[in-house]
Formats: sequence, C-alpha cells, structure tokens
Amino acid sequence: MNEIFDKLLLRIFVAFTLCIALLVYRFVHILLHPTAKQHLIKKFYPSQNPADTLYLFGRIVGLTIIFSGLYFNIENNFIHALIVFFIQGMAVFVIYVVSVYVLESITLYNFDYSDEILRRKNMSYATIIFTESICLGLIIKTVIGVANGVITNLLFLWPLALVLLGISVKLFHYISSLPFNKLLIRKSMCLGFSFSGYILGATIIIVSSLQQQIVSIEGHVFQVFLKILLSIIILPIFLKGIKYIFRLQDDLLSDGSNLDIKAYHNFNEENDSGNDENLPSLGHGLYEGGIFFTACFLTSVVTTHILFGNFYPNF
Amino acid sequence: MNKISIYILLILLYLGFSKGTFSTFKDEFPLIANESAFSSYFKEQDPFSIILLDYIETGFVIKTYIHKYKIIWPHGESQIVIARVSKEFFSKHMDNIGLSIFRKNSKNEESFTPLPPFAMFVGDPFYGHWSGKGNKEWIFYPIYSHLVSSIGMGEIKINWETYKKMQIYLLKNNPFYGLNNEFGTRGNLTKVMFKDYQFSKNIKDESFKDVLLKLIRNAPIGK
Repeated sequence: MNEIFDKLLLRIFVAFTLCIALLVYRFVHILLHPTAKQHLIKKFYPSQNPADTLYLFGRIVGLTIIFSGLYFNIENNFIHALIVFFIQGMAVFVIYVVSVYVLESITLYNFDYSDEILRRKNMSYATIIFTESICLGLIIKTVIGVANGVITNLLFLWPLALVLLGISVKLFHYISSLPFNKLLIRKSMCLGFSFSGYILGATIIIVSSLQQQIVSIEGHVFQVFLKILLSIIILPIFLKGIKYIFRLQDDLLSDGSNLDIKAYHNFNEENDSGNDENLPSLGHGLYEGGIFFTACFLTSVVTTHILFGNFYPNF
Repeated sequence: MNKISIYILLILLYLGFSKGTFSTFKDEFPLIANESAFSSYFKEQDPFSIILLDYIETGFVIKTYIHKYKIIWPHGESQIVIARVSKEFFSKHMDNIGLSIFRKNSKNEESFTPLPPFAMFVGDPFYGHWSGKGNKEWIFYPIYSHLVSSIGMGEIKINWETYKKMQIYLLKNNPFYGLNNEFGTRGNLTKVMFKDYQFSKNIKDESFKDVLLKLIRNAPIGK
C-alpha cells in the first residue's frame, strides 16, 4: 500500500514538473516574439482572439508531443532523474524554438505574428502555424527517439529532418494550384486547410523515413533518402487512385470551367472588390489537403508496413 | 510527358541506389545459365563433381532461381556454392536434387548427365575397388574414405547391379534415379543423404489453413 501511494505521489510530482516546464516555455516563447512581449505576459482570454488561441495551442501541443517521447527513469535516484529530465527539457526547448524559427522563416517570411494574429486575427495564418507546430513536434519526437540518447546522432538527424521539412514546404506551390501569399493575405481558410493537409502528409513521410535503426550515420542518411524516394514513387498511385475511386473533380473555379491558373495568378488587387466570392471555396482547400494527407498516410503503410521476412531468403 | 519521364527517372534512381543496400542476393553469387557455365566458373584442373543439393524460386513478379551445389573434390574439402540460374536450367533439374549434374574427370572430360552422387568415383579403380562375388559392392580406398561422407553415402552400399544400370543410362544420356528411384528429388535416400543442406529447413511454409487458425486463435474477441 505504501508503494502504491508513493508511486502516486511521484506521478503527481512529475506532473507538476511538466507544468513548470511549460511555464518555462512560456517565457522562452517570448524570445520568439519580443514585439508581442506585453501581450504574452498579460492574462489570456481565448474568446477574444480565436486566431491567437489557435496559435498558442499549436505551440503547446507541439511541445507536449515532444515531451511524450521523453522518459522519466527513477530507477537509481529520483534527483538524478529530475536533473536528467531538466537537461533533456532544456535541449527540447532549444531544439523546438530554433526549429519553429527556422520553419517560419521559410514558410511565413513575409508575415509577422503581431500583424497577422493580434491585429488582423488571421485564422488561416493561425491554422498554418498550428499545423506546423504539430508537425515539428512529431518530427522532433521521432528524431529524439531514433537518436536514442546519442548527442552526435541527434545533432545530425535534427538538421536533416529540418532540411527535409523545409524542402517539402518549398514544394507546396508545385503540388497545389493555390497562390500562397495572396490567399494568406486574404485570410483564406482554403489555403489554411490545403497547406495543413500538405504539411501533415509530408511530415508523415519524413517521420516514417526517419524511423529506422541507426547502424552508422552515413548509412542511416542514405536509407532515409532511399525511403523518401520510394515514397515519392508510391505517392502518385494513391493521389490518382483516390481521385479516380471517389470520382473527385478539381473544380477550383466555381463556374465549373476549365482552370485558367495564369488568369487566377494574375489576379489584380486593384480590380478586386475585396469580397469572398473571389476566393477559392473552402471545399477546395479541404479537398487538396485531405487528398494529400490521405495519400501520404497510405504511402507510409506501403513503405513501412510490408514485412518481407523470408520471402527473399538470406543465405 | 515530362511528368512520366521524371517518374521513370525516379524509379531508375531508386532501383540503382537500392541495389547495393537492399539486395538480398550478394554480388558474389555466380550466374549459371546452363551446364557449360560450370567449366568457365570452376577453372581448376582437378577432377570434381557437382551435386545439386536444393533449389528455390523467389520473387513475386520478377522471379529469381537459386541452386545450391556441393562441389566434391576428391583431393580436397568439399565446397558449398549458391548460384543464380536461368529459368530453363532451373526447370530442367527440378527432379535432380541429390544427383551429380556435372562431372569433370582427370582427363578433363565433362559429363552433364544427371546421375547419383557417387557416379564419378564408383567404378574408377583410382578411388576404390569392387569386393565380393556376384553382386559385388564398391569399397573406397582408405585415402578416399572421406568421399563417403562428402557424397552423403553413410551406410549406403553401391552394388554392381546399380553401377551397370547407371552406365547404360549414361550411354543413353538419360538421368538415372537408382534401381528403385531412391535418388533424385523424390528419392527416399536423398532425404537422408542431404537433409542438413536444404533451404526448406530454414523457410517455414504455412498452409492457408494454418494462417487462418493462427488469426482466429490470436483474436482478442470471442476466443
């Protein structure tokens, strides 16, 4: 009985430790956004600005996803475990904050948090940030798991994962017909959902490629690239297949005419009446994001869930 | 058209890079298209006999055919060789497990007729002699007694009748499976002589019924 109660107290103590870690993160978060420092120190009312709420919870969820990959080993000494957890936590904060900064510099270099979230309450921007935070959380959690406590592995795999994610972000305009910057300025949720589905799908492929045992760094990097190449080969089968099976039609223009992407991209803001009729439908964003996400998920099944065993015997 | 070219290029890149990484069959497995490849692969001057130990066909769409051989050197240790073979060669020797499918004697004469594993040595006065009267039995000289275990003979005795029948089949260039079909893939002696060398020992072959039973027994609901 003593043991059970003691274990319960330990778990409650660890829960408070995690809360303190989140508190520390709140102040680290201010480093990312010094212009919004006053806003972040004050009390937060979620109903006032849904975009800010989504933004904040994206960060928190991303961080907690990473924490879910850490372990608290108190086998030898509780204080040692606490110190190790503290060190791991600090490393996680640094990695997460730097990753967020790098990714937002690639994706949203034209936009500013204070402008888009606090002043314009841009839900599309907030959705993209939310999804990116979750994706970073998943990737960093995988990297920490694969590195298995070896610092050199971590310091090699983390930049590799960031580079892969950055390249994926840059390839968005090849996959989607939506003009990113123009629609983000117009707070289009179509873009928010399309990009979110896309980046989540890319994350699934990157995570499934990274999840391999490390024998040597060079060998592991080679295997990662090989698996990504395999995913790129398999992905179009699902993209085309899902569209064909469910008879999905790409109807970007609401009048059903053939897409004239150039005309759409040459959209002149002077002629724009500013109403939402000129924006692509929300359904299109859901379609683009949903189909890419689903195809990536199915691709990860093909690339990682086929067990060959003795089908090709080893001699 | 551009997209198709890029897609094909990606596939070729993947296949090219995977070859060294995921390849199950090592590069040192020789390719034996037919019997004539044996003499080019085994260039040694010493006489030898090649016994087919086992074969296996792998792959889903693109098949690979593998043979496992035992090379018997009368003056040295025997050698196990695994080789990729052509489909025709594979089909040709499906009944010939445990048989000697290639022999090269001291005069450099080659023989391709599938015969029992002792074919090259029994009857040659260099390796032994016949003992007894009537249906004589072959006895190896002590210096070649290791051949008994190499060719998997163990307690099995070769008699004159078997030898004479084998010579007739050799002249007609027909495979010889023994007087009572005790040699070859379905031969009961083959299962005793070479069972330790066969692939099938390491590869479990489950029937569909076994797979279904396993699924049902492991099901968490309604066990």
